[in-house]
Amino acid sequence: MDTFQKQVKTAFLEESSQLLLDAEQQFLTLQAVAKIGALCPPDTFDELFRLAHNIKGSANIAGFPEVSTLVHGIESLLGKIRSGACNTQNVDLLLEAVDRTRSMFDTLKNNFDATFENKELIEKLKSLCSQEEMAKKEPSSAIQKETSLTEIAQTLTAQSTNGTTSETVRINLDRLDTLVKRTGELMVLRMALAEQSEVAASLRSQVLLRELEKLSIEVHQGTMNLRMAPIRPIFQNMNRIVRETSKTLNKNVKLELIGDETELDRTVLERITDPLVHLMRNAVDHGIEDADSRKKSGKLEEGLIQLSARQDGRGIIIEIQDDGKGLNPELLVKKGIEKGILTAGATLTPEAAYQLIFAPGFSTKTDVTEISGRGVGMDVVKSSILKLRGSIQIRTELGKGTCFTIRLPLTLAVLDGLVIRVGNDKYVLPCSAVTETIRTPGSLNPSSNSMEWNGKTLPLYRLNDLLGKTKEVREKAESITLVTRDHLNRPISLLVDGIEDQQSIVVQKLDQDLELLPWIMGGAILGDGQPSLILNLHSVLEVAS
Amino acid sequence: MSTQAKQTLLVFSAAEGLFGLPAERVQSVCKALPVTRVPYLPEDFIGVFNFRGDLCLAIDFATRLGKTSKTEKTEQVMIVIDSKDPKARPRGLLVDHIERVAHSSEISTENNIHLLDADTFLEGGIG
Repeated sequence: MDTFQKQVKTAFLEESSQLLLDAEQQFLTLQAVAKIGALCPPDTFDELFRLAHNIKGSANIAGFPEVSTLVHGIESLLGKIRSGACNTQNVDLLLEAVDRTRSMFDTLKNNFDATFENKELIEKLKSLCSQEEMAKKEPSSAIQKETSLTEIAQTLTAQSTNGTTSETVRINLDRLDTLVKRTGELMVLRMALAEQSEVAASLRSQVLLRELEKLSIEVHQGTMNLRMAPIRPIFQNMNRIVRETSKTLNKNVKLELIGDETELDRTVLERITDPLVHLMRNAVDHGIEDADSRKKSGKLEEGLIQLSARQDGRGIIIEIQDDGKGLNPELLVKKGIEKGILTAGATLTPEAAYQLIFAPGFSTKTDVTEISGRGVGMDVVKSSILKLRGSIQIRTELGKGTCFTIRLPLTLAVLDGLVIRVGNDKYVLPCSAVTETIRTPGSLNPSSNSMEWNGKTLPLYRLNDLLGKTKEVREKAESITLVTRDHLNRPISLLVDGIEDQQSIVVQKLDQDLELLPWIMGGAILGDGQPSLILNLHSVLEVAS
Repeated sequence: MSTQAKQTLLVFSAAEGLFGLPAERVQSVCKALPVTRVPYLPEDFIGVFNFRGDLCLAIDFATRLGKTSKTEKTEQVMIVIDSKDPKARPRGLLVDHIERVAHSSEISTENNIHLLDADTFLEGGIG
């Protein structure tokens, strides 16, 4: 296979994956229509035929005949449904075929020569079509409408004058990452220059430095914007997750998507998918009740999950809200004691009890199902979000539902960091993780395990001890105390040897083995060129304990 | 440790011994750079260092062999070695001194130079 053929195949898989996502949206409309037995909107069919026809034609050109054959089967059944015979059986089969096509795309992305066993599915599609005359209807004729040439011309003119078409350029992600890295280095160099004493002493240099600073920040922000992409594909994928999970659990659940045009850094998008899939499955499995229970509670038989995204200041908020049974704090505490996570007789506030669902090995499900109940997952969800420098909070009301709020940074490339000194090393803590910094009281007993703060007694930790640095010689040991929060969101105090600076940190990638360590969020090169590491405090506390 | 024919080697001293490393794998040799320790890693992983704008992991050669270097830290040398995987970061090897460049034919038990298998030596151990 020559390079050109490979390029054609890669381009087909990229473009058709997006077309398939678009098609899935339209199929969900069909599904909703089929459920209530209404007439299918012609626009939906037009769009579906257009998408299917594009994929089929391109698959032939790219040399993927098996994809083409399967999509042809989808087209044929669409033709039958268009004639009016729209029912859930047909739509379910179409969705199954769409899922199979996606699965084929995933496989082909790794192996262009992969082969597939679709005979049974194609036979099913054919059997539903064969008795209907409409099966022979060609897609090209199916999308034909009685539209005059004048109307087409008017539509095209309106589109061009509205500026709805925009020029775009495809950029290889590696090249983009190199550009982001170089602009990051520019920021570091600018900081290093600012720290030079000659520059600090010269007024002219200061003026030029400010200009350089302004420009480098603009270039950096512009470059970062190139990495932003809408969350839409991930949200659309959740339709499938909810559909499959509710089908497996025999529940009736509707998913509403809000704000899917919200943009996030591509790296954040890649890493948020798995936690979201888990939360959506949990919402269907644990959140939404079965139909009988909902009826008894006076709720609609169909459960509702809302998945929303919006920008909030310098971050993004994603919410997963269900109208299910909510969390029962008493039940959570009881399970916590049974699982040995809490000691017998322990009492917790409802808010602390809700946090138990993030404890490793915690599950309130007595049955282990394919969906959930193994007691793994929510702790991984939380650690994945923390790794993204985000947070997750729970709001819940018994009998009314639960809402998970995920806060994420817009980008992983830059963070506001507090450079702290621990022994002879400098580490970075995200400013968002620190509530307050205070000078360590002189009266503090060196062996004390607690400290008074704002009238409260906080547990006291020493970062030197936590990081195993007790043997190192320190000049101004533990002069600063940080007030922060532990993994259960409880305030704690933390002694460090000093604060060096607060600065905008360009997050550096690390050696691939180090990327796997949960207590390291990333690397940083400080203004003086010194290497540093960004610590994940929650994970440090967990590892140390 | 293994032997291989017709190779140019960088010979260094560390842990009271002489070792040869295929020169083609050496990206740079520099004086010991500032290193920041990575918490909870075994002692032989001494931390990360800034190599041309990338943060790379450094390994103390002597510690990995279970020995202690008698050379002052400031006089030690960092050999930056390319990883076998072209996408992976290079790693630093902190040694005592660079001795010379030699030909693989010189490797023998008589002159006491041991050939270092860089891949086996640099990989693993973190988990």
